[in-house]
Amino acid sequence: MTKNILLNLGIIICKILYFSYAVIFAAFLVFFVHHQVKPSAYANIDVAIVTGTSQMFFARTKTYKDQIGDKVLEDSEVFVLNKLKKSSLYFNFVKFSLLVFLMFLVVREFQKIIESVKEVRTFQKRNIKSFRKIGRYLLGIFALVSYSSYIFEEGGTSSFCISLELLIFVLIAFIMSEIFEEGSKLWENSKLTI
Amino acid sequence: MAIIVNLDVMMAKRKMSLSELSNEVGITMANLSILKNNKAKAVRFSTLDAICRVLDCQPSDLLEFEK
Repeated sequence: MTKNILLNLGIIICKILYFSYAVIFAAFLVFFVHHQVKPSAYANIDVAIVTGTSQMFFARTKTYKDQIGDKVLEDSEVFVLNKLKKSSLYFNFVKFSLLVFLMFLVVREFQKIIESVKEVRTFQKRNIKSFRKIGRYLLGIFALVSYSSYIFEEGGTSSFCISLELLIFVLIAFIMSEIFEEGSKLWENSKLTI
Repeated sequence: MAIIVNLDVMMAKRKMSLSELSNEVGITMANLSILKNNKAKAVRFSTLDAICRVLDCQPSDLLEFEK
């Protein structure tokens, strides 16, 4: 199967994804450092869109804003990046870093599986472990994506949402590991048939 | 497994080595070793046929059921 175009394409896509994740992480690291050095550079960047959870199966968002006398502050005055609290910035940086790391691990395991299929070692035990690992990593991603919180100086927003698509992917990964386990048993039996 | 392969006994009776049997039957030494050491999960009729032909024996000479 060394000339299988689809498998080769899959490996190339995995490599592109590695690179993309590295670039995304680097960009976020630059933002993280720059935000602390020069927060005023982010004065006009409205982050209200970050709380958008329209694609989620279940979503609950809680937003609050400080009041100055009778005047309620506008979203554009509260939810701006330069007013993001340090603790919230650190929290989101750690969360985002973990998210990118887990996505990187998922792609790495997936690449291992594709490579083993290419080498006609599809039903080896390592692939069962890889699918289980993918399932666990996706569960981690699901947990990280489920909760988000942005605390600003004059307000904040937190949301809890359940992504059904991610849960389905988790389920698929675990089912695939079971299928591969069955395949591995059959392969071992056929290997030991003389 | 309760089925025991007595290949080593038959080979000893016929004074035949594993490599000789391998050459005559056309099965790799590795596979014959699996069979000899009772590690095999299944045996094809074609394999049994070839071994019986070379060792001039019956399948019952090679296979034994142990309770």
